Amino acid sequence: MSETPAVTPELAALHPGTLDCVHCGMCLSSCPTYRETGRESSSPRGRIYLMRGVAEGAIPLGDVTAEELHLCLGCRACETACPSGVAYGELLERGRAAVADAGLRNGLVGRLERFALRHVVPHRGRLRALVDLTAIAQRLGLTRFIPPARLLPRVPARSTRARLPREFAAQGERRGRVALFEGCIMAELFADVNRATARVLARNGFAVVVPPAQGCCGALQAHAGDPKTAKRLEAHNAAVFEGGDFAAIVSNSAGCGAHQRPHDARVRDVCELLDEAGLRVPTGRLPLRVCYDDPCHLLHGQGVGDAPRRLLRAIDGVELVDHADPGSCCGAAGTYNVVQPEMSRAVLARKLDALAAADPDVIVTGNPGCLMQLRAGARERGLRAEVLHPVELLDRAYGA
Amino acid sequence: MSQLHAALRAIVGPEACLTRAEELYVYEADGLTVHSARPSAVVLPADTDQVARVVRACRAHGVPFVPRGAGTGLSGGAVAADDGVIIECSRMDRVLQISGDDRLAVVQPGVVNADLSKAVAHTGLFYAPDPSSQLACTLGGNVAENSGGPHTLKYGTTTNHVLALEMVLPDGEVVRLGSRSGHAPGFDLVGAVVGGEGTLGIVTEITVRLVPVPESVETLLGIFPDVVSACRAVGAITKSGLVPAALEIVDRRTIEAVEASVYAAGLPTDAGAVLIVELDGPEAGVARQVERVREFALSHGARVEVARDEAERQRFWRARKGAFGAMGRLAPDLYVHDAVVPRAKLPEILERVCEIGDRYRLRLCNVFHAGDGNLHPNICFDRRDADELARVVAAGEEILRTCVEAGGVISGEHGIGTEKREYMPLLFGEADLDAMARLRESFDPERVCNPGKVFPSTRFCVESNPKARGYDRVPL
Amino acid sequence: MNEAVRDARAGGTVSDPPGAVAEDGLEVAESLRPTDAAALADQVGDAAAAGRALLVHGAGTRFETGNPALRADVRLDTRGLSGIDELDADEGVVRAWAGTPLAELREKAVASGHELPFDPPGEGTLGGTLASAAAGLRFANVRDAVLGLDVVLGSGEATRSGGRVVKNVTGYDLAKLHVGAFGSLGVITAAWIRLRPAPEAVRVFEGPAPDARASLAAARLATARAAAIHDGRLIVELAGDAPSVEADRERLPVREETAAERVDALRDVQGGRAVLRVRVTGVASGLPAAAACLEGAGGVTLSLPAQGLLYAAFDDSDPKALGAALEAAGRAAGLAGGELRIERAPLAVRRAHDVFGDPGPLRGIHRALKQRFDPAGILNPGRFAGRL
Repeated sequence: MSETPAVTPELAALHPGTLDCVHCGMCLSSCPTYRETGRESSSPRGRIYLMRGVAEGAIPLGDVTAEELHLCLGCRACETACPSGVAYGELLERGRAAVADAGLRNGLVGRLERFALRHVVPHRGRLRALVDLTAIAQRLGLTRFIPPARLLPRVPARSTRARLPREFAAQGERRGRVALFEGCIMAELFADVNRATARVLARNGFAVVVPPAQGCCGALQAHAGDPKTAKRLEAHNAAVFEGGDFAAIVSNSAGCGAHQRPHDARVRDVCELLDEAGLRVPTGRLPLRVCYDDPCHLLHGQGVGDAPRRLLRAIDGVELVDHADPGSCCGAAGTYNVVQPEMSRAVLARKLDALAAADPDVIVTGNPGCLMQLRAGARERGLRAEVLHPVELLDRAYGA
Repeated sequence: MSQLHAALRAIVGPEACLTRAEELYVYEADGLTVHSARPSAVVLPADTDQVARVVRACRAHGVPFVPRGAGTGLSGGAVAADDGVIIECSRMDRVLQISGDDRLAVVQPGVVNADLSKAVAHTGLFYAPDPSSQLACTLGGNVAENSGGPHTLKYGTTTNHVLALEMVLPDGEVVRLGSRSGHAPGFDLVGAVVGGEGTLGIVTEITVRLVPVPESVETLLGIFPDVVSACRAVGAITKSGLVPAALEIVDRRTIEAVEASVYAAGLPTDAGAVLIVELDGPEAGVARQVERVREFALSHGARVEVARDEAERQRFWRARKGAFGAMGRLAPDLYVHDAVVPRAKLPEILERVCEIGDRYRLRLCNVFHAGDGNLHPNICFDRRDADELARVVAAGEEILRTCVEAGGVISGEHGIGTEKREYMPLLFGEADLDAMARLRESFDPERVCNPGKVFPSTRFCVESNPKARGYDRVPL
Repeated sequence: MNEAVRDARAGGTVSDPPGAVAEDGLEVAESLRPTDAAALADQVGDAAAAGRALLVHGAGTRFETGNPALRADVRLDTRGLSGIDELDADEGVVRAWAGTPLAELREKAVASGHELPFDPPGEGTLGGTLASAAAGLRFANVRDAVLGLDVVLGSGEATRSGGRVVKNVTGYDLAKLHVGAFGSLGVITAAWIRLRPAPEAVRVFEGPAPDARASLAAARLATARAAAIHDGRLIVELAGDAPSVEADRERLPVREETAAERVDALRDVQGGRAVLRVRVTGVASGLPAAAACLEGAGGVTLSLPAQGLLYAAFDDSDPKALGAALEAAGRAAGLAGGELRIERAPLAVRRAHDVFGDPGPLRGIHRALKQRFDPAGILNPGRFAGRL
C-alpha cells in the first residue's frame, strides 16, 4: 500500500480496546456469524483485528470492515468466551460509530435505520403513530408483503397500550421502592409485560414508581453507531431518574438493562432483583414444560443467567427443560432482524431447531426483541409453544 | 493470479472465495501473531470434491496452498507463504457417523474438538485428546499438529486416536489412509500424516477412536512452598506407578499475575507453586489414588484440597486456565512457548527459564504439564516495540537451546510451523532432516502443499531435485 | 526354525553357518553381523552401492510372516547391536539396541518396577518386534510405545527421529513409518521405548464364553488388559490397582481363577505352527461373525474382541482345503469390516498372494516412499506390502 490511511481521533480511540485481544481464537465457536459463514472476518477475533488494523493505519476503513461490523449481531457471547476480558461490545459500538462518521453507512438501509432511531423511536408520539400504522397494515393484511414487518407481533389494541399508572403500591410486607424502566418497544408492543412486571414487583413487596418523563435508553442508537443520539437520550433519562427515592431502577428488557448498567449502579434486571430479594413463591400451579432461552444482553451483557431459572423453577408445576445452546443468539439483536434478515433467519433457524427438539409448552425469554423474534419464528415453524416474558409466567402463577 | 481467482470462484462459488484486501488481512496470522503473511486468496470449500479441485487449480497455476482450521495454532502453521491460497476447512463441520458399539466416529475436519465429545456423550464415550483450545480448535488442526493437552500423560495424543483419514494429496488425488480397524495393510501412513502439519496433503475426513468416559473423576489442588517441591511431588506420584489424568503446575509468577487480575482464584500469592492433579478411572481405584496423591503432596510440604463438587473443581482449574487471560491483559501480545524436558530436569530448567526471562527484561511466567515435562513459558509483550519483539524471540531461542541441552525437544504440542523451523538443527542432523524431506517429497514432490513450514529455510536453497538424486533410476 | 534362530536361543556364536532360508526358498551364502551402528550403516551403504540385496533379521522369528523375499544376497544379522543403552526408571523410558532380546529388556524393565509393553508370540528382538509391529495378547499396539527410533536408511545414512520424551511433535513422526514396515525403508538400530508402570495386581479368570455382547463387555472392563476367546472359553486378565481389579472381577462373567501362564499359552495359538495362520482385523461388532465364518471353514480361532483382532489356524495342507480356508478368510475380513493378513502359509501360497493384501490406490505412495528411502531397493526386497 503506497499511502498510509488516515487515522481519525475516533479511530485512534478505538485502538486501546483492541490491544486486549491476544488473537487466541477462543471466541470463534461462540460467534453465531462465524458459525454460519466460517469466515474469520465474520468472527469477533477477525473484527477486532480489522478494527485494530484500521486504528493503526495498516488498512483503510472500507466496505469490508463496515460490512463485517454490521453483520455482527452484537450478542457479546464472545465476551463470555474470551479469556482476556476484551470489552467487545464497547469496541463494536465505537467501530460502528467510526463507520458512520466515514460515511460508509449511507445506503438506503443505513439511512432509514439512522432516521428511525434518531427521529422516531425516541419520540413517543411518533413511535406510537408508526405502531398505529403497522396495526392498520396488519389488519389490512398488508404486512405479508413487507418482510421485516412479518416479524412484528400482532399490535395490541390501543387501549392496552395506555400508559402505566405512575405508582403501584407494595403488597404485603414492604421490602423497598423501585423505579420501573418502561422502555420504548416494550411500552408500545408489550405493554402487558410492563404491567405484569409492576404487578409482580408489587406482589413481592416493592412499591413501584414509573417516572412518566422517561424515554428510550439509547441502546439501539449506540449499537447502530450513533453515539451522539445515544448520549442525548442517556442524559435525558439520567436527569429523570436522578436522585429519585428508589433503591433500584428495574428493567425487564435485557437490551436496555445492559446499556444502562455501566452508567447507573442502581440498574437491575427484574429477575435479578427478585432473585436477590428472595421470590415470594406464587401459590398457583402451572403444570408446564418450560424452556428458558437466555437473552444475550442479560447473560453475556449483564452476567445474569441463573436467577431467571431459579425463579421459574420456584413456580409449582413448572418443569424447566434444557435445550441446546440457550445462551446462543436468536437473531433478533435489536434492529438486526430488520437490517440483516438473511443472517437473522439463519441464526433463528438454529435456535428453533433446538427449541423444537425440546418441545416445550412455553418458551420464556426476558427481552422484547427476542420475544418478537421467537414468537414469529415459533409461529412460522409450527411450534405449539407460547412465548412469554418470565414476569408473565410469574404473574400468571400469582393469579392462578 | 486473477486467472487462479477466477478458477477458484468457479469451483467454490464467489461467496466462498475471498479476495478482497481486508478479507485477506484477517487471515495473515493464526494464534501466533508475530508471524504473518497475507494469502492471495482464501477459499471455504464445502466438501472433499471442492477441496480436490481447488488443490488441482492451485497446482496448475503453481501457487502453493495451506489448510487452516480455526487458526488457533501457536506455531504459525496456518500462515500462507509466498502468496499462497488458504483452504479454510471451517465449513466442513459435520459429524458424519458415530458408533458406540465400535467406539469410533467419523468427522469432517472443521468439527470443533469439544463439539465432538459433546456429540458422542450419549454413548458414554468421549474423544480424549483435549487441547486447551478445544472450545475453538478443529479436528483437522488437531491431526495436523498431533495435538495434546493436559490429559496426554494418561490418554496419549491425537496420533493415538486416529484410525483412518481421507486426504487430498498435493496433486489433487483423493485417497483413504488407514482403516476403521486400525490395522490397514502397508505403511502406517496415518501415523505419518498425523503431526505432518498440513504439509503432506489436506485432510478431508477423519475416523477417530472414542474411549469410555471414566466412572469417576477427582481433582486435587496442592499449594507448595516452591516449584522444586511441587516437581518432586510429581516425580514421586509418577514413580509410584500412578498415572493421573492430568498433572498441571503453575509457578509463583503465574499465581501473582492471576491473583492480580479479574481471574483471581483466591490463591495465596506467596505460594511457590500450585499443582492440579486430576485422577480418573474406576471408582474403587480412584478413591485410593486420591489418598495416595494427597500423601505425596503433603509429604512434600503442600497444603492439599480435594474438590468436593464441580464448582470447586472449576475453581481449582481456574488457577491454570486463568493464566492465559491474566497474562493476556498485561500487554497487547502474548507468546506461549512450548518445549519438553525430561521430567526430572523440570525444576532446574524452570529456574533457568526464569533467569532467561529476567536477563532479557521480559515479563514471563510458567505454566506446564508437569506429568510429561512439557513446559509453556508465557511471555507478554508488545509486538509494535521492535526491540522487545527481538528480545522475545532471542529469549525463546535460548529457552529452546537450554531444553535441548537437558535432553528435551523443542516442541511438545504446538508443532514447528514457521516459528521453530530454524531451530530444527538443534535436534536433528542433516541426515535426519533429509529423511524427513524424503517423506515430504513422497507426498508432495512439487512442494506446493504448505511450503515454508517445519524445515529450516536454508534447507531447500540448493535445488534438491528428486530426479537429481537418482530416485527414478531403479524400476520397481 | 532355521539354524540361525536355534543358535541365538542357545546363546550361539557370532558366525552362523550359511544355508538355505527354508521359508523363503532362497540360499543366502553370506552373512554380516555388525557390532555397532556405524558399522551397520557402512555395510548397508556398501550393499546399496553394489546393488546387493540384504535380508535383515534379528532372531529370525518373523521370516514366516510377510511376503517371501524376492532376492537376498547377504543376511544382515542385527543381534550384534544388543544391550540397553539407558534406562530412566523415573521417567519410565528405556533406550536399547535393536538386537536386544525382548526377554532381556523385559527383565530389566521389571527390575525397575515397570512392564515392557510388548508380548508377541515367538519373542525375538526389539528391532524385529518393531519392524513387524508384532502384536501380543496384552499389548497389541506396538507403535504407541515407540518414542524415538534410530534407523539406517536403505541408502546407508544413519538417522534419528523422535526423542526420549513422551510428548514430542518435533518434525515428522518417522517412527510410525518404520514400525511395521518389515525393514523395507530402513534398518532399525535402536529405539527409545516407553515403559508402563507395573500393575499392583494381576489376576486371570476364565470360563465358558458367554454371548458375544457379554464377552465384549468383559473385554472392555477398565482393568481388562487381555481378553481372549478360544475354544469356547473366555480368558480375561485384569491388571491395575487392587481395588479396581477387585471391582472388575465382580463384573466378570467368568469365575475360574487361573494364572498368567494361561494367557501366555494362548500366544502359541496366536503364533503357532499351523499350516495356514491368518489374522483378521476389524471393528468390534464385526468380529463374532468373522470368527464363525472361519470356524465354519475348519479354522481354530483366537479372538481378541476388545482389540479387534482375530486369529485362525488351519492344519489341512491339502491345496483344495487351503483354497477354501483362504476364501473363508477373505469373507471373514469382509464380515469383520476390516482386513486379512496371512501370517503363516506354505511358500506357494505366499508367492501367489500378497500376504498383506494389496495396498490398492496407495501403491503409488508406497512406491514413492520405497524409492526415496531405499533407492537401490536392497532392503528385504519383496517382503513388504505390494511386494516392495
